[in-house]
Amino acid sequence: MNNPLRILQTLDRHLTAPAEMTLFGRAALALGYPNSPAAFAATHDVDAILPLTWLAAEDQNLDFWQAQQRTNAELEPDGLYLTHLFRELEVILTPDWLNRRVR
Amino acid sequence: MELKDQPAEATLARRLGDAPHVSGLAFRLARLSGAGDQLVEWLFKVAVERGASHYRREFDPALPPDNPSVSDEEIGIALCLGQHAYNLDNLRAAAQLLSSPRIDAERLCRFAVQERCEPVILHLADLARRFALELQPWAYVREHLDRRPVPRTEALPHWTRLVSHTGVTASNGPAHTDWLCRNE
Repeated sequence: MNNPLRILQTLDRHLTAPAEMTLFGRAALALGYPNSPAAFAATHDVDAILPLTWLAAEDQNLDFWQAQQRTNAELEPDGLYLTHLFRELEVILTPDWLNRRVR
Repeated sequence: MELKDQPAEATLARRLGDAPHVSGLAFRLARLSGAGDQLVEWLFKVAVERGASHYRREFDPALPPDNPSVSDEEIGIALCLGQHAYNLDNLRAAAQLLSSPRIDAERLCRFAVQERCEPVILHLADLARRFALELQPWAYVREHLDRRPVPRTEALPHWTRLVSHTGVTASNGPAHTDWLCRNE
């Protein structure tokens, strides 16, 4: 069971338009690296970084927020959630982090 | 503007030395209530109307009315979000609103984890223990909510700000201190 994958697949189902997310933390390690510790896949949530430019375009991101709400409602019985979304100012990053993300 | 030039905001999270997240709960409530940028004022008003009566005051008449579809737990947690500008009264009102056996303690704990309010909620629960050991939901919170330490807690309410204290009684009896429970 890969909880981060399930959370993101659920989010994907609820999105009506393409959306990009920058993951970090255990979910990123579980999904981005093939030999990551199995415990990382057992995390109950997905942490993500929100660029300032994305946050500034609030009205353009309604689909994401609505999809997030529906995702959390659907996954609530299993204790999974997607709520820990951080502004880039709150995370220790390199200045050009946007260009150095692993896809 | 470069990241290093961004002004440091006096948020609750910053006062705690914590990192605030962007709350989808706040986003949803701001739109659902119609309060928009006045979300915190609306949350406070609703908390008072629902029983945090100790903090009753004049509110902007333009604030939208209460929305029954928003649960007490959501109101209480939303008042404790780290992203808000630091205001002790927000936490005090949340404490009184949430001090009710009608609160779904399990749901409160779940929201506290999702919205990273564990330090605030556990602080309130720990203080409640001094005055009402069995009071729910705080007894449940102390037992079931995992602690997430933050560097600083002095910004959280002192116990004297969460109780009703009677220094002198009519019968010359002893001083009496009661935890402020929801007025219901």
